[in-house]
Amino acid sequence: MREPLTKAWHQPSFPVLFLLLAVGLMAGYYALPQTLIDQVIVRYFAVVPGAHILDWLTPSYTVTSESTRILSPLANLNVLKGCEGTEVLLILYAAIIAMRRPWRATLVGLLVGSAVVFVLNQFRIVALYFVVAWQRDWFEAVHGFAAPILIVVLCGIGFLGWLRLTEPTTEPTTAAAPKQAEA
Amino acid sequence: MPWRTTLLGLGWLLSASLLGVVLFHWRTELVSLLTPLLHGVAALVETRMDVAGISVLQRGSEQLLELRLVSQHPIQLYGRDFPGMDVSATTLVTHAMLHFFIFGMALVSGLMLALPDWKRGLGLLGLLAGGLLLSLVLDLPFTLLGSIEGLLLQHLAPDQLNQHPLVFWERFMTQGGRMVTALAISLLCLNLAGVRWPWLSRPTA
Repeated sequence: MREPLTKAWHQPSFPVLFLLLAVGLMAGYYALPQTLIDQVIVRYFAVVPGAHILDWLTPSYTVTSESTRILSPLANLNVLKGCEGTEVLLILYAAIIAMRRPWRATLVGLLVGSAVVFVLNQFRIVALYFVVAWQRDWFEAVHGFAAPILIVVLCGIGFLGWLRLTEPTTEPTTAAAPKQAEA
Repeated sequence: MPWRTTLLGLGWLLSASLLGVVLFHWRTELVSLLTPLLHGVAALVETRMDVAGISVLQRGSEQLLELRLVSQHPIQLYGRDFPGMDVSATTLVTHAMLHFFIFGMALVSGLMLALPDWKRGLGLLGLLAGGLLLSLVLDLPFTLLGSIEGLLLQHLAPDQLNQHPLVFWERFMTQGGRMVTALAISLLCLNLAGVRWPWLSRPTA
């Protein structure tokens, strides 16, 4: 016997709560000072690790980073605000929080989700670097369409997996006794 | 049953790949079909200038959707007088495809779960078609108008740049908001159509 997924999922309140949370999280994120976003978040969560991976992947070229740019003789890539993966991360956070699961399951979802998004975004940066280097014509397709869709699909599958794993197994409840009234 | 879940999963992944290829291949045609609607919405929102056109153009290897606003007569914008105005903004056509993809996959998922209930499937199709149009209308014309407004404000009244609602909306949409909007509306459509996801639940004793 299977139970319906959760009440939260089936109620129209989930998409509304998800939308409100996502808007709130994004508004909060973009209210941060631009320098903090560029020089700390974009640089240390996207550019620096991306440059290290690319340097390791292409031993014949030295790949370095400067501010929000990945530089090498093969290609240069400027990672702009929004390309550091935060948008997908905040969407995932909004979805996880909007499900209103127990705090421990929520915390695990947020932590694992953050790690997954970070890894996926590194794949995206590496892929974009090689697209710029070898097949510049594909940049629009990969940057504007394939990469965001792939990341959302993979995060969506991960989110559904998290839902399934953290589904509370409810004990059968006894029906409440009818109220007695005395005249 | 595990084999059923596996088949559904494989079918879903195959559909996602096919849909991605089809949408990217016919992106220009699909967005061109929408231009009358987008033109109408932009004209409804922009009251100071005329919408000269909203069209798809090719620049290098990129397909762009361009909105052009003109004023043939003198116009006052943010306290400054101009003899006329001709201003335009562009966005990548592929951005519109994100909406098509998310709603397309919501339809595939919904139909997989709703079948063989054809009535529910048809209801879902109608809801998702309406939701897709809403999602596109909330994105493309407002993003382009917000981009133009941002350009004007940057030069004419930079102190008001961060307070303008169209500029806020443009930033929200281009920084992840279009995905959020499309996901939220498509989930709402699935819920309203009564699609259930029992196969996701853990079996109970």
